Amino acid sequence: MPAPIRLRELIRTIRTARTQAEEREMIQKECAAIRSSFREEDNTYRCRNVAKLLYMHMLGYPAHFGQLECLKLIASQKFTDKRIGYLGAMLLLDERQDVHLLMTNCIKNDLNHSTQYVQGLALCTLGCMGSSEMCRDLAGEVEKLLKTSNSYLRKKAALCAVHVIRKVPELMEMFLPATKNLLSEKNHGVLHTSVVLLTEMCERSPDMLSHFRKVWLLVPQLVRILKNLIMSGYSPEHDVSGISDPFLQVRILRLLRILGRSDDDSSEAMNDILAQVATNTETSKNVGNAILYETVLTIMDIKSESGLRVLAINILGRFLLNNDKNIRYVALTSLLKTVQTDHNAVQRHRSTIVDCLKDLDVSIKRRAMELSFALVNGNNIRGMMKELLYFLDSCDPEFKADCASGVFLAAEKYAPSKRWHIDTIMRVLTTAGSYVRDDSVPNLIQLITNSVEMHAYTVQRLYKALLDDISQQPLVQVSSWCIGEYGDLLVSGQCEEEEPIQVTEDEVLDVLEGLLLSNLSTPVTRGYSLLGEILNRIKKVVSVYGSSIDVELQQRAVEYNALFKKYDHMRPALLERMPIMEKTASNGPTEIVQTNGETEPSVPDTKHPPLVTQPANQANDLLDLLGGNDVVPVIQTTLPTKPASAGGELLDLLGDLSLSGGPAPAPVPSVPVSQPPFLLDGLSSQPLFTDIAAVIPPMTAYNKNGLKIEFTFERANPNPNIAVITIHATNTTEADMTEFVFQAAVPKTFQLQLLSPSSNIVPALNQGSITQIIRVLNPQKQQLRMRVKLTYTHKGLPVQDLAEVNNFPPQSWQ
Amino acid sequence: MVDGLSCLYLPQNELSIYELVHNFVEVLDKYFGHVSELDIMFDLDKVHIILDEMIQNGHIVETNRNRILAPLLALDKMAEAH
Repeated sequence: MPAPIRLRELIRTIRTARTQAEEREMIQKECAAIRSSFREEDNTYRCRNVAKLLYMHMLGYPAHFGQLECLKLIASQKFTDKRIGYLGAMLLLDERQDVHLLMTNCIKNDLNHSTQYVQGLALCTLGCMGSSEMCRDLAGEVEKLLKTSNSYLRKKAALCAVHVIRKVPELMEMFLPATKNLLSEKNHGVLHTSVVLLTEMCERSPDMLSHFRKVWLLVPQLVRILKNLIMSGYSPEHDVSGISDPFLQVRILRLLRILGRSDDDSSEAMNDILAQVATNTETSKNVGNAILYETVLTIMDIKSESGLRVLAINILGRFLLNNDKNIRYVALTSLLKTVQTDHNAVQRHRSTIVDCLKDLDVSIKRRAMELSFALVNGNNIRGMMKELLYFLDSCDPEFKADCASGVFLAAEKYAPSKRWHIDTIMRVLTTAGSYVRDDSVPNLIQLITNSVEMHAYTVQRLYKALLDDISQQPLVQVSSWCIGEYGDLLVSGQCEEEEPIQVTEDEVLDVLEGLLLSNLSTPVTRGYSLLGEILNRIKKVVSVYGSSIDVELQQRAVEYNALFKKYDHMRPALLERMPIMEKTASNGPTEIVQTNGETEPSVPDTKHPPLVTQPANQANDLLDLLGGNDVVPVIQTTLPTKPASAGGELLDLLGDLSLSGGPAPAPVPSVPVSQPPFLLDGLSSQPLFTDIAAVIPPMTAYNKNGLKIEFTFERANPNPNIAVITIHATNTTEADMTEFVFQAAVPKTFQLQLLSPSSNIVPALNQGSITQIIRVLNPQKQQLRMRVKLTYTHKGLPVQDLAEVNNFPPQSWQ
Repeated sequence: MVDGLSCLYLPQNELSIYELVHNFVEVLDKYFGHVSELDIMFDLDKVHIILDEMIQNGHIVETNRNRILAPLLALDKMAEAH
């Protein structure tokens, strides 16, 4: 068999491979060669083979079959063999393999070897991957080596001891005597590793920690060593860019930190040296900054006096001005940790921090942003907000959401005035609107509603913003909600702070309709804008009623306004619950149906506030009509607590509207006593619109002589026993039906309430319709039956008709 | 090599780790003379030896260049004598 190739050859060969497959092939070939060589138990080339195996392992290929070979190498007498063997053991073996236990004896022997390098190897391996059993067995040897005079071995033994302590904490005490003398070493390597050993002991055992503090008086010793390092002149052995052994300095500082933590005496003892290091260290190179950084960390962690803390923060502030990105990053991270405890000191560097917002590096920008938000307070809010809004304008999209939320939070806490607050919100919505978190929209709305005096101003500004741009969803949502809520303020043009804009309903409606039609709007937005549709509905309803109503409408609007102001204090509570609405297709007046956040098909229905009950005379008519006592006259039911809303109330009022022929409704402010709960209850806790629990199909109740009456259904919320029926009467003949009156009666177990009709003329040829609302209370959930009586004048002749309606869909009464 | 560096037990002071890496590169430079990637590739075992002299189980052992390289140079001498 030819001699196995050297490692270099292998590397060269593998590097010529151009594809992964080629490389794999080469490696497999070599592995096969190595395996057969191992089988031959060839001592000469084992070292070479294992070296190659390690290389292949580094590339990611399996090399487990070499584990035993490593052991054989370790057992060999040649140093080169041992070297590779131990290296292989460290790379390929770990505690999970049982094989490693076989090493114990070898290591034990090697720990006592005559050559220091071999001993070193053994210590190194044991210290890297010794299991707890191995450590237990060999701890004594390690401890012995800790006391040797050979500094090469001492330093390795110290680190090996660290590992032993980690694996077998009970053995810590064993190393104590040997450790004591370590600090008097001159050799920096030994010094360094002994500091590491001491650190490990302190961290593991608080008893040890206090022992070191009190009995050994460790702090003064460390302080002395550190001082020597700083004060000594140039020492070529450990110099790094003019600083003497920075690694040791950093390590000592860290140990001091642990010793000084929550201990006043120790902290005091190190005050001076810390101040000295902080002021005297050269900062032109990274080395100096590394030491300063460690000093700062130590100062912040121990119980240092305030002057020292200020010094530390000033160092961090200086770091912020450094050209090196790493140092700026490190400074920002540390400042973020200390801003809570040393707020005032950090405030002094605020302008530098704010400048970091303009940095090019993303992680620096992020930390600067977080820190800026932490530094905002009542005094600097205006200035800071300007900077932060500017940042919001120009930052990457990934920051915008966080920044926007932060701005809202800060504004909420420290806003100097309501107007400023709203302006800030507007600015955020217009610049970063699409990134605003979903939950901020309701919060904003709540905020706006709470700042009562700003409503007019707010809605004007929102309206103007809407005119400019409808592409940002949250802005559109808030705007349309506000317009819906405060549309009256917008329309009436009242505002002390800005010039009133003469906005007519038409304009507002145009904008809102534009919103609805724009396919940029999401359904949610459309839903919000539908609140604004209240005005729309008013218009449409008004047009149905005819022109004589205009004066009444104005009166109603003013009364409505007054009503609003009277019950304003309830509004915030009410408005918080504003659910999301969906627009539904409708034939006739636009409908709004509450969906509780889900899209559901809904039955077209008009708004139907139950207010006025039919006067007694109509009831009497019905009694005559039906003659029987199985009929319960239309009575005034105890009104179900009807949810009130902006639109709802108005329509309630409109429902009140007296129409020609209808009874005069009670004026709103003096709501009849029988209906007291309605407004207040409505305002307090009800959801706004009636719920549609299920789809109830419409039905044709009557169709004769050209008169067709359709019923459409809805369930009332909160009382599901009430079915709300809207009748639509249309006329296919060529003559109008005038003086149209619809009456209805139901069996005893039901209660019926008939509201005023929209008019009493059914225009000819389907040019229009009359709508009227019937509310049926069906507590026993019996099948709904109804008798209707229709009277009208057609072509000059009075017409009367009776009909029975039995084809109610089951969902309407179940 | 990366294994040795990745488990460095210096969780907080990133600047100090930066210095350590710098030191390591300097040691390599001293041994190989103007070290390049190829050197590391072809003499991976030697690099490992150097690393073992510098870092042990996540802690720094030695930072003095001469002392780090001493065992390796002795090893090289032994290999030559063979």
